Amino acid sequence: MTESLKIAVADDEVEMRDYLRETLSLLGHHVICVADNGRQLVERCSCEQPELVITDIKMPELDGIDAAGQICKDNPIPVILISAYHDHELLERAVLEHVLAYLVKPIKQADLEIAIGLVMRRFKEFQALHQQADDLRQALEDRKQIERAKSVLMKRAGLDEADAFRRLQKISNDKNQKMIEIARMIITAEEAMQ
Amino acid sequence: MQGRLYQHYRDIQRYIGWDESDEQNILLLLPKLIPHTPDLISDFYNEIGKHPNASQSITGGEEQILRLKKTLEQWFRELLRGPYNEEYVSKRWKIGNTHVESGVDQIYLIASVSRMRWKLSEIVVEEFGEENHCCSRLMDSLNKLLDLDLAIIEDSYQAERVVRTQIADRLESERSLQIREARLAAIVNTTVDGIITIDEMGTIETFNPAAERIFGYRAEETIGQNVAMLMPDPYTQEHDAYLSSYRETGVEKIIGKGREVKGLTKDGRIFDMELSVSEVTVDDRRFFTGIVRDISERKRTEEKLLQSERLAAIGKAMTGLAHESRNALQRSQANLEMLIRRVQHQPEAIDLTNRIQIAQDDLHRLYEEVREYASPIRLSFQICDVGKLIREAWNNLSIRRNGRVIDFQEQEHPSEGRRIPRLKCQADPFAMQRVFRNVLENTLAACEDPVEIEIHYTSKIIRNVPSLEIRIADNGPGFDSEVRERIFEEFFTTKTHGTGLGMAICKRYVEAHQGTIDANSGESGCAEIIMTLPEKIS
Repeated sequence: MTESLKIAVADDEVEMRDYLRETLSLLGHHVICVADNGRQLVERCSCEQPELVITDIKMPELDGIDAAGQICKDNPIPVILISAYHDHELLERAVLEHVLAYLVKPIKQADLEIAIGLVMRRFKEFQALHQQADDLRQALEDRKQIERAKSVLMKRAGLDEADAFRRLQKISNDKNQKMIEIARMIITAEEAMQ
Repeated sequence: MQGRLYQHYRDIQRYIGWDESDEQNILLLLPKLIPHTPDLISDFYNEIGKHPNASQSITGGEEQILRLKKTLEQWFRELLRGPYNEEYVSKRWKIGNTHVESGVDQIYLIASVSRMRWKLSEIVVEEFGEENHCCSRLMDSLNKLLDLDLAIIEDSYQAERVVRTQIADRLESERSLQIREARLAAIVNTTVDGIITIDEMGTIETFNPAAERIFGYRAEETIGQNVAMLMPDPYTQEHDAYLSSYRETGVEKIIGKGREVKGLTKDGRIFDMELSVSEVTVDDRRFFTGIVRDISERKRTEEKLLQSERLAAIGKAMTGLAHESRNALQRSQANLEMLIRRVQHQPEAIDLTNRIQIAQDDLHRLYEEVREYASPIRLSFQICDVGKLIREAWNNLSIRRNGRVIDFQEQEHPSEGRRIPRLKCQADPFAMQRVFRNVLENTLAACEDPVEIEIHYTSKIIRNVPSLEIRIADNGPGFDSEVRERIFEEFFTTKTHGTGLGMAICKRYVEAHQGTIDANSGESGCAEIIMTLPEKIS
């Protein structure tokens, strides 16, 4: 059994809305919003914070691909498109908006089940990768700051590099603060002195 | 002629002032000059003998000269004696004409008269004495007489020139007429259009070689017959009525316009032809020229084009339909699944919903097949192992194979320069898998258990391109000749189910791979599909 997800769905046809609501519930998910056009979907998603969006493409007001783009702009969430069309242009647009799955109608319960499982798994992997990349970026940034603080200590206190680093470590331990924070303080102080 | 000539002569007489005194002077001269005739004549012919251009018309030797001398003697006597009447003029003109006909250059005639004039003046001086005052008057008269003779001769030469010009003109116009006729005949005989002329009763007068080819008759079989023989009913009956109505009313139905009609060949085949008729009147007789072009080939092409346009339109409609059908099918599917959930404790209802599901899946597949056939092919080529593609296609048919007894075998054959075939080809794996799936699906549908399917691979060079031949043979009933010919046609099917597009899709895909696909009956009468795929797409 997969985990229960908060899902937002949109389709301009009532049968599909009923079907998705019932089927997703049956699969153990929580359908938090059922929209009949793209604009409604975007509005509802901004307050409901779904974990997955399943939407038709061709809908009045705003189509599913554009809606997905707006929803994911600030806070990326996985999107599954379901459409009767699969022409080249639509596929290209879908790829650009980071859509994770594209199902061609008519679909059955099994198609949905498999797609949801796959998409959530992939999305988590993506998120993990994103997190990892962010962490690495931060670590790299911190290292630069520490290097700068070290060079301030070397200049002001006449220490060599190893001693400057040890001094930083010691202050961090004594003050019970992260080394990067100590480094920032030193850099700020140095800037104030100049 | 003579009348005109004599008048002309008289006119010149007046012009040069010939009068009675001149006639009297000549009478005076006559007795003195006649005795010198032999000398004058021999001098005349001696001089001619010295000039090849002047004597070239004298071909009869001494005998002729003797005769000519007599003529000249007579001419000289008559010159002096007269009388200068119409008969005289006519005679002189004939003499001139004799010279014309024997080809004597006019200039030598003038020269010889001039020489005669000189010799005569010598005689006159000799006879009458240079100081004699009448001497010059006598000479004047003699000169006038000679000039008058020259005028007649000149006239005969002129007449000849007119005639010669007329003859030349006539010859020239005859020649150009001949050339025109030859040219026209060449056109009529070599043109691809049939050209038939009929008289106003409809009787065929000419029938060119192209018409022979088009209608299958030899010209002699048609000439003299009514042109209606070249038309099928109802034209046969109507044509005579057309002609008589045209004769009476002059109302044109076809003349001057081309139009499409039916023609009838000797062997009874009716064909489409384009006919244009023009009317010609020669010496009050009216003819009609019909130019006939066999357009059955063009018609066929037009029909094919129309058919393909129709197919294109259907295709376009079907693509739209197939797309829209997905929405409808989706709604149906959604409702069906929800229904199934609601009736899952009622076995009879479940049985029915299952059947609906199967029918709906069939419908879906049909729509997809049509859509696939109608939409443009988008292939992405990569190096594929064809054997692997076939095995994958075979595996995908597992549901259809369920419960069947099937022996599936693959064989690789050596070929020239290759011990084992190269199975790697540049192909779109999805498209080719689809092709193999369609072929194998047909095989399964056509064969009864136990089914034997053999796949044979051979490397071949086809039109200088290294290719792979794939032969898919089974132990089914094989193709009859109609099926073999039409199996790749759209909407042709031997199955009671299906769109009849499966094999057409195969052909489309294989040809998009620059390959070929054919249906054959194998050695034991069973069915064989033979495909070739180039190793590389060019």
